[in-house]
Amino acid sequence: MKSITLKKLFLLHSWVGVVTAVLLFIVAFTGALAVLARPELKIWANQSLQQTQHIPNSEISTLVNTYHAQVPKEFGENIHVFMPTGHNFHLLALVFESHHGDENYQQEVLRAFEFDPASLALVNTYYGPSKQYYANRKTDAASYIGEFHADLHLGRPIGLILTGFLGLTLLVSTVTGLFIHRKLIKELFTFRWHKGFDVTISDGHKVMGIWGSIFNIVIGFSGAFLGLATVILLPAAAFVSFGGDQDKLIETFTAIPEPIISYVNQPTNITAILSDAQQRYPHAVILDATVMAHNDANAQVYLRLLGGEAVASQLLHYNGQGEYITSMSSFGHIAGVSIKIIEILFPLHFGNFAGLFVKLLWVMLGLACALMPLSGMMMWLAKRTRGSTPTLSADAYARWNRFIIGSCGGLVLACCVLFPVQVLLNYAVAGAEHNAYFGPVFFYAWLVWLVIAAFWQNYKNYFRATLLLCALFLISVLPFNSVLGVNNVINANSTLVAFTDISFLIVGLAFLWGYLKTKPDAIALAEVKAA
Amino acid sequence: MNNKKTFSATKRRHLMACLLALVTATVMITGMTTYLPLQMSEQILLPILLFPIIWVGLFIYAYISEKASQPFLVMITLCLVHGILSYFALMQGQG
Repeated sequence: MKSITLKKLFLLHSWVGVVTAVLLFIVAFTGALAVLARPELKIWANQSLQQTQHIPNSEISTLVNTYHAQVPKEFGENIHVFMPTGHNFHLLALVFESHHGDENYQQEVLRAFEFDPASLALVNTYYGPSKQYYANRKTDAASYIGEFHADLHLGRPIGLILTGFLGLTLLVSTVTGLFIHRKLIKELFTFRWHKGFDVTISDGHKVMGIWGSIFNIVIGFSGAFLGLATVILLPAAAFVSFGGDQDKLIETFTAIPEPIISYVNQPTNITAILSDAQQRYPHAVILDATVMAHNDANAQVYLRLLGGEAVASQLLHYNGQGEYITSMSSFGHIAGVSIKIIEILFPLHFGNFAGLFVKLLWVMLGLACALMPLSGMMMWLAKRTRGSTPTLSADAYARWNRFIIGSCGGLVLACCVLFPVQVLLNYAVAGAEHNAYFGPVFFYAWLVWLVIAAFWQNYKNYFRATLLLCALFLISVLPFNSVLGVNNVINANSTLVAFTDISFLIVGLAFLWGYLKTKPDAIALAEVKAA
Repeated sequence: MNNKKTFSATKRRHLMACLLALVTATVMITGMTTYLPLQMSEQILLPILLFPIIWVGLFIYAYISEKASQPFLVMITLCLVHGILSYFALMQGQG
């Protein structure tokens, strides 16, 4: 390759990296946490999910029949049963939908009944527009971070477009990075941690970039697709074939066509359907069931499953008598290679296709992806302070560092704050009222730490303070939960809760170790040794 | 590294990479649905899947081409061809 082309690629790599560094860190770091959000951290955050329990299929069937009889006729069009698995819902939810509204609403409306998974006691009821129900469901710390990763809480489409474009720029950075670091094999195994800070950062950037290149390409590609699919790609594709009607396009490809109601009464055998699915896929989790034309001779039931042998989520189709009809992708029976690729994009992005080991691998690679733009930015800044005619003064360099610590370190701190807050909320605040706290706590913690950057002159101490605070918040989770939580390390009622609390402690201690290792004396000694 | 020596017409390249590449990739998705010799679902989904690759290709090309006019011509041509194909497909649909 010509040296001028390499120069151009190098400059392009630098520009894209510098412009997107902070945003890419924000999205990648929260993405790494979001990998564990569902179901692990969601179960940790919700007491109702913490005891392993299996709700008898006959109980679910009885509840559907009982509450279907109580709701007005129009609400029987579609019945959704959301299982308390920690993937979406923390309670068993029965949702009765009317697509065409009712006497009070001229829009899609629903009646929901939520039950405690252990006692099956009715906990919540809802009647109103469908959108509001799904938007105001109880959230938790990990889900809040996961939702922030998806659209930065900027709403849709702006947030989705932003994260989608960050996926595209990650692709550009990875591709240009692979071209400019051509000595791949050598750089894969070069990490000189004792040769001074700048060399360590530079080697770390290359090692993380090359080892993580395939992951970064997969995440960049799938992230771009997930972000832009509904706001740019589908409308553009629908423009010619469907005259711009995106809903019609989705309807054409929809997995669940509306059945023709026969008005012949025939009980829908939900018990048999759930049992059959559990027998067919014993290692998969049933996320939800959709019952159409319930207790009609033409009733159809669709179950959405995740896990087991299948990489992507799958949809099982049954008729009302409980006969298995077919299994398909969650997008329905669409022929072709493209849909197969789209299907696997989701598990590849979320890392939820092969158990906890792959999830932990995804977390590590996600954190490496988050550190890539930061290390690149630090190299870019350091380079401008060196030489006989540096283009960046020492003051400007310190300001940049403070800004990076305030924005990126502030985000890490804001995420760390949410976990002890979750324990406190579980103790002091009921149900969906939690939702009102996460936003202010998260954004104010982040904002305050960013504003402090303007006043804290010594950026090394500012960085150490960030590490210390993160350590304190994470370490506090275990004692807080031991005192306030129903399930904790002491009573070990829930293995997942005990394991998660201990994990928070270990990560907190790692932050504390980082704080102690970056003592001003230790830094000075390391610099002298390197010299 | 001196940017002025490395790149000619830097501002134009920035504009092409940031704006024209996006417009071209989007118009191409629309236009590709008219001529891909595949069944309808594949005709729609394949361009969607190709979008990130097309955009990244055009973005990098906007910078590494020797002359800034080359990517400009390529992108404008792609836009026009796919735009015209989409227009005719829409007209046929209405007719």
